[in-house]
Amino acid sequence: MPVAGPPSQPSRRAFLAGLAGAVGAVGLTACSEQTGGRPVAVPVSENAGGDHPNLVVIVSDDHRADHVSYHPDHPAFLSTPNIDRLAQQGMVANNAFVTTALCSPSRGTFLSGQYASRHGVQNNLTAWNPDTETFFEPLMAAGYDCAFIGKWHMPGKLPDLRGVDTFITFTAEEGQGQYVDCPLLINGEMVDRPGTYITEDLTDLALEWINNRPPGKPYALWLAHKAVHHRFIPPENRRGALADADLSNLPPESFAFLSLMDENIWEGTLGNLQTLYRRYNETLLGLDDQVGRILDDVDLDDTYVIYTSDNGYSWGEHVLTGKRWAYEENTRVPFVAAGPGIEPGTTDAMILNADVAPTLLEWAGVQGLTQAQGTSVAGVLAGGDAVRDEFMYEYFPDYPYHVPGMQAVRDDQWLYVEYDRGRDPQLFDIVADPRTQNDVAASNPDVTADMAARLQRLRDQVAAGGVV
Amino acid sequence: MNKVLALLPAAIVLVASIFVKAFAERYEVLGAAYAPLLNAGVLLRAFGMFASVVLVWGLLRSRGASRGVLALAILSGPIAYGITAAIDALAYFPAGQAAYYGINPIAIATVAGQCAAAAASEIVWRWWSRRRGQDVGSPVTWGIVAAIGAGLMTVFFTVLYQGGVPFFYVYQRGYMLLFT
Repeated sequence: MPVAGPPSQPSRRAFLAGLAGAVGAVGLTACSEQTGGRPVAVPVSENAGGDHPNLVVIVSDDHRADHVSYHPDHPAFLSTPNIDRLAQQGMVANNAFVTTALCSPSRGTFLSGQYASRHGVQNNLTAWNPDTETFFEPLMAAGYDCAFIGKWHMPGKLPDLRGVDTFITFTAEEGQGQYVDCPLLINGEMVDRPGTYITEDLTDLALEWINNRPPGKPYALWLAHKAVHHRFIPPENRRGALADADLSNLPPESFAFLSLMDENIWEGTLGNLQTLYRRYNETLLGLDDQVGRILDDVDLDDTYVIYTSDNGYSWGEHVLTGKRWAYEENTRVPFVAAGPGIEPGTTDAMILNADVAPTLLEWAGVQGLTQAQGTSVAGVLAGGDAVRDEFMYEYFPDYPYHVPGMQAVRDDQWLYVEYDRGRDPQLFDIVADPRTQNDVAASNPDVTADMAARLQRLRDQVAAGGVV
Repeated sequence: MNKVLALLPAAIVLVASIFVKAFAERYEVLGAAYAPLLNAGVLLRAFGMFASVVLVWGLLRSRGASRGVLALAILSGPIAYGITAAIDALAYFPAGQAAYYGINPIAIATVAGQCAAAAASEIVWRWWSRRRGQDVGSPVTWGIVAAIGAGLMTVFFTVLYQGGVPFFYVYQRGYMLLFT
């Protein structure tokens, strides 16, 4: 299976990448002037992990933050020893969030460092703008081999993604893919994959790509899994593993057939909640197994690894299944980073999906991605101070899902949400009410007014393309 | 009276919808009965949408209901769903999009489900009537079998096959064509 090879035709990108690599090899720095409106990467000689550490980002789908066994509130039946292993070797971010809790917008934000309102993939129906710059471009220009392997799932035509040597994705089910026998688009060629389970198959391809890298040349791997998105189909060796699990952790407002409510009916979760929830967790066990295979293969002395997810997931909280809302279950994601210079520990600093791209570039010692609105958290992950104490959340209506458009601001204590179509704003005291059950806007007018002003400031900042 | 009977499916949908909306999340009010009652509520609503015509079909046939009333019995549950769903959708989308919501894949499936249920009820009613010595024709005809088959297949392909995902994307493409 041709995975590791170059694109079929040498491209200008490949030429530039080779050129940049050659420049780096003789110890020079590239210039920072812009060519054709695009920033040219500037290799920097000093950074925490040596000149050019490898970069591996593993992004799962719909993996909620408390469903990893390193989390103090994880379900008792759930064990994720491999993600835990990464956590033991790296920094766990206790307050990692996404700026839009929905697959496509969040993926766009990860890649570009921009808010959905800026990169334009506002929901699962609005197209990716092929002119959007991703972190791959400056990395490739700096001499990195780059691979995108896994879920793309952004509307519009699949792009000729600039900055990657290898682009492996899937188009089945409108880009959602399928767990079993999922055909893959490998560097432009559709390939049937009979007898495969997608999480394992993508991991196989990722390992093959890693192990075919030329010695001494840094690489950046983006590995985006379908798991643990619905329809929650675990690998065979994990099916039924949690058949006897005690599911008393499901919230009190949940009930078995809440999937039949209009609020949930499009989430692809028709059926018994407990059954689906077991399968979700069994699928997660399979994902953890595959994360372990990647960890077995990389050396954290010269490789940074991030594990995170595109958004969280509600399992009955607020009588909802799915994501999209500004509630904690949806916006919080697992986030673990390990690699050179990162001491094991935890941080309460707020980290966003928009921060990933700038962080990768800082680790690589590469400048670029001038449109990014996130901030590098390389310092935070090395034990430094927080880079923000609040962030803005945004969600755009996504037909036919029964979720209003909303914008929110969240700090360490408060979550303030403004909705469209005339709904009243809500204010939640996250410290006193972590399940966001009680709207306290009316009883806290001063806080509400202050948060509304902060939201407006952030909204203006984001709209202007500012860093947040 | 026949028209009232024909509206029973709609009444089931409406009552169950109101109950579920009123008590969802009210677990502190309902206590231990919360989950059983809410489950019963959503399942009753689904029954009202998809198959409740079985409750009235035989009665209507015995009472000599007209074709129009029989059609009302088949459609009243789906129409009640479509209207309430479209009204609900107004909270999230502009009027045109909310109206389109009223003909979503589930609405289509409810019509198909009620057709299949009516056809199955017709078999039962004819069989029962013949046992009572009435000449109502053969209980099983190609037309009835075809109605059951077509109805079930439509339900299957709109909401059950692969979790309803393929047909959902067809519906979404319709949305894109109409509204974007």
